[in-house]
Amino acid sequence: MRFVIFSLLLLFLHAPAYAQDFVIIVNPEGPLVDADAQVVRHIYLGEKRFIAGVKLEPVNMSNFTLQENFLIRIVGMDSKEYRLHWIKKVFQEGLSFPPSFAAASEIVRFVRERKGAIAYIPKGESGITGVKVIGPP
Amino acid sequence: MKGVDFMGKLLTVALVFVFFLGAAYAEELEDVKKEVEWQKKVIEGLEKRVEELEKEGGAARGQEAGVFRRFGINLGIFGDINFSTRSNEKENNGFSLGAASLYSTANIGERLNFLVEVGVEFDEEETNLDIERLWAGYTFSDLFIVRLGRHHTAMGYWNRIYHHGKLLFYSIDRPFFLQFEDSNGVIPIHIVGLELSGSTVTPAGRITYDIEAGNGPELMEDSDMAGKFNLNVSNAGDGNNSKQAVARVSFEPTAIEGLKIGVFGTNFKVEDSTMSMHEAIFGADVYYKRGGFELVSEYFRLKNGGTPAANAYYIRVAHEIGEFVPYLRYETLDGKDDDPYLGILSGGADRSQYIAGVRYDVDPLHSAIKAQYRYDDTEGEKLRNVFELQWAFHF
Repeated sequence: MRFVIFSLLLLFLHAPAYAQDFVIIVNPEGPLVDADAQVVRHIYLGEKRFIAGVKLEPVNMSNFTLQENFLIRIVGMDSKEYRLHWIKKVFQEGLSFPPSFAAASEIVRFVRERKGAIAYIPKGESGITGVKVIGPP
Repeated sequence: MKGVDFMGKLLTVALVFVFFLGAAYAEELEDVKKEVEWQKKVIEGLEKRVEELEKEGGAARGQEAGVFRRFGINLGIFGDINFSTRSNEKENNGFSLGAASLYSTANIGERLNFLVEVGVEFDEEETNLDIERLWAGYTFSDLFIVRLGRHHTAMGYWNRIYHHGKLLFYSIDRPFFLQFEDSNGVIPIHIVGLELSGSTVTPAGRITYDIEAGNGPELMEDSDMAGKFNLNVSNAGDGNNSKQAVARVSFEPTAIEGLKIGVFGTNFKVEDSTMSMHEAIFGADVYYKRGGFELVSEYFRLKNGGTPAANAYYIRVAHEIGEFVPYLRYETLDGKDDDPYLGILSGGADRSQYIAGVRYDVDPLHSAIKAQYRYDDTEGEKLRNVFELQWAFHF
């Protein structure tokens, strides 16, 4: 019985970590109008860098659980694979690692100020103004 | 009456006093009001400045969260330290420093970027400083990127992905026929000139192309093997007027996640005082990763004039098990005895190697320890069993 209670408790504590959902936001004047999963994946991998002449700027959230959830669901990699991919990308093509921010408010401000920016933030975050929610796909 | 008169005077004096006192306070209140207004303006100015600094600071913090961003550019070093038993490359059991690869990249604005990679290499007699890669690039669009300088040729998968970073691959070294020009490689690894590349994402998958044109390899006499040569790509000019051309096209199908296939080819001329020949090398590569399993294989066909073509290929499989990655690789170069190209190169002898090893990730982004056994079957050589250890790192 104690084992069952302990397992349920673990499950209860564990579940919210993976249940943390996100929304994908972009600049309302930018070229991205919907969250096509393949396009978002290629943007985050640095393989699609321009749309209609506008430089795309993917942004990551430092929050590990949310980042992991986004990367596994959309990019198809965990954060370790993603960072390794970018080390190769920097070394091979001279690109820079996408920036990360700790607070959703900082991400919203970044997206608001840059036409080609795309980011993910926790679902239900309050005070999101001046950006367009386009996903998840 | 006298009392009333006195009271009247007293009242008058009091009123005059109150009047002057009020005037004095009014003047002081006006000053205070002015001071408050001024303070208010100062605070508003400071608030505005703090907001500006937060914006700048926020963007900067975002950049710093990247892996190596320092002083506005990316800086990094790949290095490795090795131990090997006696082999065809090492006379005695012993430790050795691998090459230290120092690189820096910078992005200026939205479209300009630069890369420089300097290799510090050690041999028994001296330490050499080599410019491995150095280019300036401009991105017109995803489909059209121009780079000018010294690049790694688009010959297959390995040469375009791993460059000089040993931490990036599982095994201790590159396949022997893909070694760098000054380490007995037979495939031109570097080119100095122009590179055009680009990619497009279609519903069927991602298509990438690379086209290069530039100074091809020259022959440089090998000081360790009399009568043999190594390839050498000069940074300062070209030994002849014939230019090397390289092309590669690769495809990543959407339907098979983790699969990349490519075809490539090159044509160049090598000559010395006694001979001159055109060499054509073409081939195909395949990379597949699913879960922890990874497979990579490349095939090269080397052809010149009327002689039969030589073949070189390798196949490597690996599987991640937690922090450990066991791997197996088979690699071979097989040419005819009278092949004029392979015949003059130090690394041109027929050779096959069986490699089995394991890599342990101390920190997958920064440090790995590798141990491997290599069975080296080189034509005319007797030393076949080699054990090697390596600590590869990046910071």
